[in-house]
Amino acid sequence: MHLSEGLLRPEILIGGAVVSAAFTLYAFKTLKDDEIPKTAVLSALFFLASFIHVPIGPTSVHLVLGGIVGAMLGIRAFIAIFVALLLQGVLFGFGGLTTLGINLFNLATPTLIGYWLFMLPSTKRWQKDLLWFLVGFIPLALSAFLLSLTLALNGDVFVDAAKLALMAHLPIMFIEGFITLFALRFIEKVSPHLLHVKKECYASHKCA
Amino acid sequence: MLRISVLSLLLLSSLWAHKVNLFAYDEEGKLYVQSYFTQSSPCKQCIIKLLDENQTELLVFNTDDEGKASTKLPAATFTILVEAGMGHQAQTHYVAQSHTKEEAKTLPSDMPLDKMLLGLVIILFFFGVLYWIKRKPRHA
Repeated sequence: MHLSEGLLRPEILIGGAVVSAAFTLYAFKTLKDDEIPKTAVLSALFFLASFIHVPIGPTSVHLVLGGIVGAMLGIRAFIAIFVALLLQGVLFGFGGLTTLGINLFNLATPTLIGYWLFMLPSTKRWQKDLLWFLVGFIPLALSAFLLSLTLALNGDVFVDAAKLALMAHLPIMFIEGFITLFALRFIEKVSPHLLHVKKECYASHKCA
Repeated sequence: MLRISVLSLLLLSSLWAHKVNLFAYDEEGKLYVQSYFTQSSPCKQCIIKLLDENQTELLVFNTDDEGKASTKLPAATFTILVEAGMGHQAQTHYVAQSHTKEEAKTLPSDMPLDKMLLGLVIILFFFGVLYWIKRKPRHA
């Protein structure tokens, strides 16, 4: 899921960096001190998730867990993912500094959809479970789509790139869907305030 | 819970790096290339390009299902580029008849735990500083 250095055209790198910088700066500016511990823990989770790697066909995919990061952080996911991607690039060579912006865009933007799905009202247990599964599933699918789009803009044939990216990530989408569902159910059971605070926040529009 | 999850993930023995690795050596005029994501996950049917100093393609070929490939040496020095698809690639400048065989013994492990711990410490430090900057004044 991380695009390597020296692969993309400068205009794609700059475009991705500008958009990501805007989201990240906004998230930093509006970050409140009581949100920082949760953001740090989810940044660490995202940082470690990328090391759980599953070989599939000619390539290799890894866990992302962007959905749960987005569901619990909203726009703050940009901060958590920015820090994690920066360290992955500097320490391990996953992605890189020049591709940090476009990688952040491809991975963090779909987590906002995860946040939106998490906030959708649900009255029945099965509806909530389905939404929480989709919180893990959909953002990863969108990230794979954005990855394909990026490669297509760079000159690759979009259909081939999209097919490969979506097929390669399909098993991980289901795995992440279930991990996210069970993780959110567990949090709901042991620390419901972590989820309820977010919902109250959302309902009262107090979380910028 | 998340802290426990993070610690559990850290302790998992099945953690691997996600990066295209490239290893090459030459012997009797033949170049041998091996590419892999991890030792257990070879870069299957990946495209390997040998480029000269002007980035002109000298040779293009594919790895087999074990991530290995071999070909006749096209020049004394060149760049080896491996394209694994979906934005993954690795490249290295290669000098034929070098001591690359020794490198096999000194290849870093796939997942250095010390770097992972360093990453977590940096995250803790970064957000600690951020908290210090953002904290509300207690005696306003």
